[in-house]
Amino acid sequence: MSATRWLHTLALSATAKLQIVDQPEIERSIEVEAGAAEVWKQITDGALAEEWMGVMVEPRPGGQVIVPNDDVIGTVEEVVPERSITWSWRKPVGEPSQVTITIEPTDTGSRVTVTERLLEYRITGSPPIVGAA
Amino acid sequence: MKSPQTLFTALADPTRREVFERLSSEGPASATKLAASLPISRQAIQKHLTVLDEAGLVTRSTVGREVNYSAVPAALADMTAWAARVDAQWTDRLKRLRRSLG
Repeated sequence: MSATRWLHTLALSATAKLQIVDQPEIERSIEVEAGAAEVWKQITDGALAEEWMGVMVEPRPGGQVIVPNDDVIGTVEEVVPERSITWSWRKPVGEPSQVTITIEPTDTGSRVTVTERLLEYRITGSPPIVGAA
Repeated sequence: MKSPQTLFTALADPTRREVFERLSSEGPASATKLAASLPISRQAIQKHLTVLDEAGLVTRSTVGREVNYSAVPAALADMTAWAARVDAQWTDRLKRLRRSLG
């Protein structure tokens, strides 16, 4: 399979969706049997978030995104409690990108959707990122 | 190594994607030849080829007075690697989230 075709496959696949739009992005979602408040707690409680996500996010605009060794790797941009949170980060080895997590109520619980998109600009409001020291 | 962003930006434009795909499927071509089969001017094609060249998606070779462009499909590896890596990370994280909620 050629690389070009692979690109199209990614663009069309429902599970690994790569969209080449204004900003390239990846989208993933899962259904969980938990209410929005419970999911929100998993995202915003530092200890819980570190457990599954590997980072802690301060749930307020301008809040920090922190990895376990206390390095600040990003900044929270938008918060709608129990609905969505958006931050920009730059991982030690990686391109600057923006993450949005949304929570939607379903009949059986919630759908949690994550999108991560590459950014052209550098993240503002956070100190320069030093590589994996 | 080009950054995924450079590649994404280069391929975000539908005409550039078209040009890149033509070169991939039909082999090397000049801007003039491409312009003959696409509804845009040679000058516009040339601009797109320059962006693709800067992103490492095409290479140039001179044949007489003509400049031919060839696609470099391997250049997409960085971009697809970014997508695959980020996708895999979130797949793992969301699985852990489900377990945490369970």
